[in-house]
Amino acid sequence: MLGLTGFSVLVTVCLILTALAPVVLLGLWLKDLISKQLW
Amino acid sequence: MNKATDFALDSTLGLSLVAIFGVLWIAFGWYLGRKNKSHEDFALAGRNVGFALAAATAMATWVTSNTTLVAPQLTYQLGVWGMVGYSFAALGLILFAPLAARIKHLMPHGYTSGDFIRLRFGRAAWWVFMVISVVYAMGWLVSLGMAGGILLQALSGLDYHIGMSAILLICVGYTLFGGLRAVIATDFIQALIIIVGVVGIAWFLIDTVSLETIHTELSTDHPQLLDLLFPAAVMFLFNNIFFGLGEIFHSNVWWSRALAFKGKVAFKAFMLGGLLWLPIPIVTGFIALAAPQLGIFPPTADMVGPMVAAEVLGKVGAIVVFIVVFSALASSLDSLLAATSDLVTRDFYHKKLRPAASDQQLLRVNRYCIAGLGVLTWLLCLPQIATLGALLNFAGAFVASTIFPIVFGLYQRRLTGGYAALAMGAGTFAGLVSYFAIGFYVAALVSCVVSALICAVGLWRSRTLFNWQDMQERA
Repeated sequence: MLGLTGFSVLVTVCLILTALAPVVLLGLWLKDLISKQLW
Repeated sequence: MNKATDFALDSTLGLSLVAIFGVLWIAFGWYLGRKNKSHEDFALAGRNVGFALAAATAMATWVTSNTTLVAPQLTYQLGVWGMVGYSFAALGLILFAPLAARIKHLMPHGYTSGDFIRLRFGRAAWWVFMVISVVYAMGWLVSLGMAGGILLQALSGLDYHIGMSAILLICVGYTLFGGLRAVIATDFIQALIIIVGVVGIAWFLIDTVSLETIHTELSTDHPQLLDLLFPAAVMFLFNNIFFGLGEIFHSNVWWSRALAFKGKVAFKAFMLGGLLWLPIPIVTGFIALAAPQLGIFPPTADMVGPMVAAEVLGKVGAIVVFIVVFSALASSLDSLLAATSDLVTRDFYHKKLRPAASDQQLLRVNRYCIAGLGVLTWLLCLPQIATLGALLNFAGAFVASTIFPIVFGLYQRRLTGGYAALAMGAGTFAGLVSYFAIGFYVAALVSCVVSALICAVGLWRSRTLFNWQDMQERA
């Protein structure tokens, strides 16, 4: 059975990684926009 | 026990949200579509999509209604392995990264996955592949259309048929105007909406109920949901890996993207898209684990995610879930409409019926196909035939049989068309038998294994070598 620590770590780490995704995508978008590489 | 009507949005508000998003997406699609001058512009966004939009579209398209509705459903039914198993579908995107680079290298002027099968394996394999592709595409389209109707009904009390019709109409509208360019640009915005919404719901859930309370409730009353040796769930994990691989490796949704991304963007875009997608089903699945603690027993398992979110966040939660699932639906529906219409236009109309068709004729037919597919999907969605999970896993028997024929087809010169056709046909048949005889959680696994064995025999017995130059077909 998955204990409280394992359960908490799994959910928290995944939540943080998911929260970082928009930052990564917007950063790349800005980079492509500035270098005129969007399309 | 909570009922859907306890937290439902006002149906006027639900319809207003659909109308606002509908107008915005269609106007955006029209704006982007002004640049489409040729069929290549419309179908493949001019083969010039940059890294940011490429990574976002890979991620957003793979975040479907299934990720936001079925991942919680499977977690509710299979526990921790349900959400972890679902997240392993990210391997599909990650492992497709090198394949995408190879596809771009082998057929720089190609349009569809059907082009590859036709040129690499010939007519028999092409027919088997097209049947699999059409069954999968229609299964996924119907699954998405149904999800739209279910979502609107559950959150706003709106009639299933009205909600399903509205979502289909909007997606057909902006795909028709803007082609792949509109699909990819809207995917970027939808990806941001989905992630921010999902993170917000999970954050408030932890803040309101706490991880410790959820874990204690599960340990006491539903220990099987935390069981790491839940046999059906472990089988599901492996089944889902092969299902995800099969879905991505064969589908023109992903092939058209590989061909549309500029230069060497394909590899890193799919890799990043997969890594960004990986934790999302665990976050959406986790939301379902709070259901017992909150006393929620949904009428159908696929509604558990929206019901928990709405219970915790009230009306705001219902609105957030509504927008997130609407975006997830749209980001996949538009992709599937575009990719499937490309397949029909290129593989059937251009290559079988009218080889001499002009570029403008192809562009026109492509648009007719999008509209026609929208109507067909609408007709098939009218009766609500199955739960989303059941419909999704039925398709697993079909798509998993294509994994090895495609991988060997891309890298191995010895696999012939006869063995590729046999592998896909027999794999699908075996997968369907196991689906009905054993359960949904083994269909893709069995299909893939049978197909792999036939491919292995094919490689062992083959004495001919394919010439890679034969892939270089001009439009």
